[in-house]
Amino acid sequence: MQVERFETQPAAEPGTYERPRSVTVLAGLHLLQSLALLVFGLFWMNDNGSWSEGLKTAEHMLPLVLFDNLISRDLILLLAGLGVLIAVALIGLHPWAWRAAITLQGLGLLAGILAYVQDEPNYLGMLMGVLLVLYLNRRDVQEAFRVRKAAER
Amino acid sequence: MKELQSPNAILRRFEPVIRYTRGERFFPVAVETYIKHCSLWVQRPDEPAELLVPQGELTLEELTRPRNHGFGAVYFLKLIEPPDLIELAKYSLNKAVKTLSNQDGDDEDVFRPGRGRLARVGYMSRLIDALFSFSLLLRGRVPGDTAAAAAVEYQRMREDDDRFCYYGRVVRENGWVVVQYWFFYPFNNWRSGFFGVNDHEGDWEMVTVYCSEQEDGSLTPEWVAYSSHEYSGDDLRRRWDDPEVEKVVDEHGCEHPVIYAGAGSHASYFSAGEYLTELQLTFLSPVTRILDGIRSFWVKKLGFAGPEDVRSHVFCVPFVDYARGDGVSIGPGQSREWTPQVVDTQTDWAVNYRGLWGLYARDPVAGENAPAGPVYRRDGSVRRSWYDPLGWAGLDKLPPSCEVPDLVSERISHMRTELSSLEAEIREKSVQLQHLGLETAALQGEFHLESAYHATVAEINALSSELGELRRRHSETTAKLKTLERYRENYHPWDSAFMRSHIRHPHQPSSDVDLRLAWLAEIFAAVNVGLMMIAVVLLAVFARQYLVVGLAAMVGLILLVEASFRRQLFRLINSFATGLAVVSALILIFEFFWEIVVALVFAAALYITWENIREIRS
Repeated sequence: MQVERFETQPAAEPGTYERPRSVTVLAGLHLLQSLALLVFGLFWMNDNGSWSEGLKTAEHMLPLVLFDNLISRDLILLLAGLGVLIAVALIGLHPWAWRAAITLQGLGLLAGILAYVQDEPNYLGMLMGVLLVLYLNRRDVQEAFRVRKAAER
Repeated sequence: MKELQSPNAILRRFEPVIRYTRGERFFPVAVETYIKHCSLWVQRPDEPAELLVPQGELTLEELTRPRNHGFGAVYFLKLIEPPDLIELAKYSLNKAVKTLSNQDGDDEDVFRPGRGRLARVGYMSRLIDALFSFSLLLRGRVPGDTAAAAAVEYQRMREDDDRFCYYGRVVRENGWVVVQYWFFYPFNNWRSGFFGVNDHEGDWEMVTVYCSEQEDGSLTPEWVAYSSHEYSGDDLRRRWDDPEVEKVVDEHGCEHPVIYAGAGSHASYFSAGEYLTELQLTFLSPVTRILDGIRSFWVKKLGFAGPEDVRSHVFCVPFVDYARGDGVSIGPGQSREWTPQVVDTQTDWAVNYRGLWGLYARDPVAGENAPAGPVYRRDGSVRRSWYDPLGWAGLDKLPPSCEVPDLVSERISHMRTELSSLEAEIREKSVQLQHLGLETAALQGEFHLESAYHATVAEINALSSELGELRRRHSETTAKLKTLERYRENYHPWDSAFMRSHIRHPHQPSSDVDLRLAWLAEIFAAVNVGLMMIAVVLLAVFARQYLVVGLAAMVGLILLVEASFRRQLFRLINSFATGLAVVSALILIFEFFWEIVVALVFAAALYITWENIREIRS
């Protein structure tokens, strides 16, 4: 029986592994997504959780605010901070950053699909999530993070 | 060396050692002894089975008597008549007492399962497995008490005849001496005894040793192939010097291959261990093909991460075949020895009885029906392993090693002849082409010869392409010739580089899955399918409005817990995120189809313009 699983290989010596361009793109996308979330968190106008009209319009124009209708401002800021941290860690090719990123994108896409079903879609956020998941699944990206699928039989 | 030429001596020379797993109930018997304990029946379509010869009266002569009961008739033996309940109870009680009194596990008669197959495989496979087990209620099957009754009957057989027999056959073909060993077991209790796929009366297994014959008549074993379930082809055979082929040396210094027999199934393996065997469900093969296509596209075309082997194993029922080799051993140098019997195309019972060697359970999947004999398949056609023992193990394309240098030289000589004839043809056509070229040069511009000019040009084009093909063949043949010459120079019959290069899918013992809290994982694997089904029923009865949400939540929870046990949590999260990304992408395509088309056209236009400008600038 084939058992696929993720294996963490021993970390490469610093400087021995060149960062693929796709990782840089991935980190850039992630940073962009997190900064957008941060901006929304910072400009959250009312403590009761409602948006100003201007930002409500902007919400649908800017990338990923997938969590906005589900959670509080503090949580958004926390997620945004975490996102920035992950983006930096992605640049540093830390295996945990890959895991954290895929988990965050999974949750984000789930929230995005739920919002779409509830007729409150955030298409830019979904597009960003799709691109990030595709990048995270690239073979060279997984190899760069020393996270690979081992096919065993 | 003379005596080696008799089939009996050849069989003795290479006869294998079979190591069984503790708890194995049935060992190879003589067919005449088995026959004495059987009755012969015929099953015609849409009629009840008809008894032809009752138990106790059947002999090998009677078995092979010509019979004709029309198209669709299935002849079969029946070992187990309605069992004697008192005897059966006595046997079962004895077995239970023996198991309980051997808690230390040192008795070769007591089987102790290891980590079960359920904990080794994924959730979907277990769900399919549950459905497969349920299907046994609808399909034809060997009745539940038959295995125990067969064990009682087998004990009686042993009292009549305590030999351990094999049926050997020696065939000379394409320079090979093929030595086949057939083993007949009265019963296969894989399902009832060892949690396997099936039970059936009668079981034929086979091992083949492929030898080259030296000039002095001595035999050198080169390959060995073991029959294992429905596998065939290159994957079955191993080179004699392969470390995977374990051997036992007898008192004469001769080597004998060691086979590890699957408990109850009697399938043959090269190494001791627990083998995960998958039963393909044919009715789900269209779904499997679609999944394989998607995975292949994802991995090979799009270049995303994923297993290289894109075959889907989701819709397979997993079973463990225990071939531990910790029980009885039979063969040279063991406490139990073989009694050889020669079988060939003149052996009456093998050639003239085309029926089944046990109960015909009318199972449409055929797993519970007994097999036919060594020569035939269940449908009466001849087994490939009988009429083409070389092709069966993929050895029809290889000569014995002692013949390789001569055959390579012969092939080189053929190639040189081919090259000479190609060169002659190329010379001839080149001259012809040059002549035509000169002719067109002369005809150029002559208005009264215009049609002749065009015809010559067409002829030149055809000849040029023909010549091109000849030159390609010449170049390829030259390269092949050089490679063959190098191969001849460096050829060594036991070159380790080629030892395992023919094996595509080696069947290795499954390793213990790296489970966290193994005992808890085992219990969880055993109960979760049943629990989920009960929960579905409860939801359907008491909270139907939450059925879909509840089911999704339960499946999600089970998958999470299980992935955690298997240390595959991030694989699950990745699959989950990828699935959601695909759904999101489909939503985006659905919502913005024309915008996407416009954007793509716009991007293509920009790209083409940019490329053209770059070209002008450069």
